[in-house]
Amino acid sequence: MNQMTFPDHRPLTTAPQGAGLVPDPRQAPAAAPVMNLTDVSVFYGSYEAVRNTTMPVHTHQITAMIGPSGCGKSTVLRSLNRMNDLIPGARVAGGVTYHGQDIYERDVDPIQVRRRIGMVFQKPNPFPKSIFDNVAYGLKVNQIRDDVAGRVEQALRGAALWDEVKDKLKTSGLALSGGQQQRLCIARTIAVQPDVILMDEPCSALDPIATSKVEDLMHELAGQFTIVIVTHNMQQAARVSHHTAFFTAEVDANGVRHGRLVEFSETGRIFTNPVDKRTEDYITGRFG
Amino acid sequence: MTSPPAPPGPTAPGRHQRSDPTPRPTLASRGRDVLGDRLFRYLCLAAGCAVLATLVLILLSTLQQSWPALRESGLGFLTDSAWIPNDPDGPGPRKATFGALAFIYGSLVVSAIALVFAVPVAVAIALFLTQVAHRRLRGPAVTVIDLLAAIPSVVFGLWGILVVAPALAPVYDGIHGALGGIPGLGSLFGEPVSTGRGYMTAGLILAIMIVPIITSLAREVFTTVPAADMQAAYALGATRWEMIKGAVLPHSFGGLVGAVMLGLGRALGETIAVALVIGGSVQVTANLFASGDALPAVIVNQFGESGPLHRASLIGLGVVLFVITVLINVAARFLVRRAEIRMRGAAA
Repeated sequence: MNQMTFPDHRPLTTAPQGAGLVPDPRQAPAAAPVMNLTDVSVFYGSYEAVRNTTMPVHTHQITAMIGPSGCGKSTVLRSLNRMNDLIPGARVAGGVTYHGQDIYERDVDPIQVRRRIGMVFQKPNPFPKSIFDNVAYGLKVNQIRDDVAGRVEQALRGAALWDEVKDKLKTSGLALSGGQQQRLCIARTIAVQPDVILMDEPCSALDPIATSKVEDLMHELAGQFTIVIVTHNMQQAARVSHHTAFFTAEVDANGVRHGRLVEFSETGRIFTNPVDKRTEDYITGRFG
Repeated sequence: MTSPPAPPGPTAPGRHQRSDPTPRPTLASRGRDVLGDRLFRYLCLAAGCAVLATLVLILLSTLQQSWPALRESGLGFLTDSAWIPNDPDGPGPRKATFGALAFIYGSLVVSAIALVFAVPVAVAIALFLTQVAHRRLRGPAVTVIDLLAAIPSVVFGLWGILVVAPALAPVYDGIHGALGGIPGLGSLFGEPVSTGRGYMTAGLILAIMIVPIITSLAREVFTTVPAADMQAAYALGATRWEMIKGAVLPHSFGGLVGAVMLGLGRALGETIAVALVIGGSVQVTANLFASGDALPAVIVNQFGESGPLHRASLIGLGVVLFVITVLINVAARFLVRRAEIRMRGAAA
C-alpha cells in the first residue's frame, strides 16, 4: 500500500488553538494504547446497557469484541467515537481516553473525535452518489482540498477496490455489489486518514468470499490504522484480531440485563486458554 | 391436518426423501379465494382507469367546448398578447381578439415567484422539523403549519388585497428606487402600481399558500432517509449541515421535486386569491411590480358575462392551463429519473 501523508493533528476541541494537542501516535511508544476505557458504563435513559468496562485499545493492532447478542459490544464500540450521542437519552459514564485525552470532556467536540476515529457499519451504506464522490465526501467535510483525486485513488487502492472501479468512478456507489459497497465504505473511512477505525460487524451482510476480502483488507490496514471490530463470528475474531474482548449479558439481582466485559486478552489466549469459565463455554459453543 | 395419509408414492430422485408418510397436502385452488382475489384486482384496475378516464374526458370536453375559439384564433391564441372580448370604446362592434399570451406569461411569472420564495422556506422548515427540532416541538409545529393549509384561499385573497398589497406598495417603491436604475436587473423592478396589486404580491401570497404543502411532503421525504446514511456522514466527522448536504438531500432529491411539483400545481391553478391581488391587466412586461393577470383568474372574472366566442376562448384558457401543468409534470418526471439513475446507478 502506498504511504499516505498523515493529517494534521488539530486538537479535539473546537477552540482554534487550545490546550491538549494530540501527540503524533507514531512517536508514541508501541506499548501505549491509543485508547483506554476505564469503568465505562453506557446508559439509555435510566437503563444501564453496559456496566463497568475497562480495556485498552492497542495501537496498530486489531481488537475484536465478541459475545452473544445483547451483550453490549456494539454499544461499547459506539461509545468510542461518540456515535451514541446521536441516540436521544444515551449517556456514557466512566472514562474513554484517546491519546490520554478524555473524549467525553466538556470542551471536546464530537465532530473532531469522529474525524480521528472513523466507523464502518454493519450494512454497507454508501451515499447515493458516485463512487468518487462517496470517497471525496469525507475529504470535503474535513476541509482537505489538495489532490482530492489522488487521495481518492489512494483510499480506493487501500481498500483493495481500485482495480474493480477505476473505470467507473462516476457511476453510483449503490450500483456496486454488497462486498464492493462495504469496501467502498472502508475506502471512504480511510480517505480521511483516521487514527482508529471502528467496525461494527462489517461482514455480517456479506457472502464468504466478500468476507474474506474484507478480512484480508483488515490485516493490511492494521499496519497503518488501529482497528476495533465487533463481530458475532468467533472464527472471524480468531482469524483477524490480535486482542479479543469477550462480553456477555448478565442479569443482576433486580432482574435487569446488563452487558458486561468478561475477559480481555490476546486472541490466542482467549481461544486456547481462557481464564473465565463463561468465556470457555462461549467459545466452545456451550453457551446456553 | 386431519385427512388420512396418502399412500406413499414413488419418490423422485434428487427430491427430499420422506422418512414417514405425511398427509398429502391439498394444493388445488379454493374457489372462494380465487374469486376474492380477482374481484380485488378488478376493483383496483377500475379505480386506476377511472382516474385516466376522468383526465381524458376533461381534456376532450374542454377541447370540444373551446374548439370554435381555437379555430377562430389559430396559433394566435398562444402567441397574441391582446385579449379584447368586445369593443371597449367604439360605437360599432370591432373584431374581438383572443390572445392568451399575457395570461400564460402571468401564470408562469406568478408561479415562479411563488416557488422562489416558498421552496427554500419550506425545505428549511422541513429540515428543521426532521433534523434539528426537539421531538416535543415537532408535533405542535407541524399542526401550526398544517393549519396554514386549511385557510380558505379567498381569505388569503382578501388579506392580500386589504393588508398585504397596501403594505407592500411603499416597499416596492423603495426597491424600484434602489435597483430600478441598474441596466437589465432594473427592468425586473420597474415602476410599481400604486395599489401594490401585481405579479409580486400575487406571487408572495401564493408562496405562503404553498409552503405548507411543500413542507409537509418534504418532511415525509426527509424522514425516509436511512439512519445508516446519516450515521455514515457523522462517522466521517460531518457537522449537521454537512450531514444534511451529504446524506439527506441526495437521498431526497426525487421526493423534493415531487413536493415542489405539487406546490407548483397548486400555484398554477390557484384562482380566487390570485384574481384578487394580481391587478387584472393584459400585458407582458418584465416588471415584477406591474399588474397582470393569470389564466384561472381571467376565467373566473369573465366567465359570467361572456358571449359564445368569448366563452369558448375562456374554456380554451383552461385547456392551455391543463396542458402547461401536464408538460411541467412530464419535464419534472424526466428530471427526477435522470437524477435517480445518476445517484443510484442504472440498476435501480
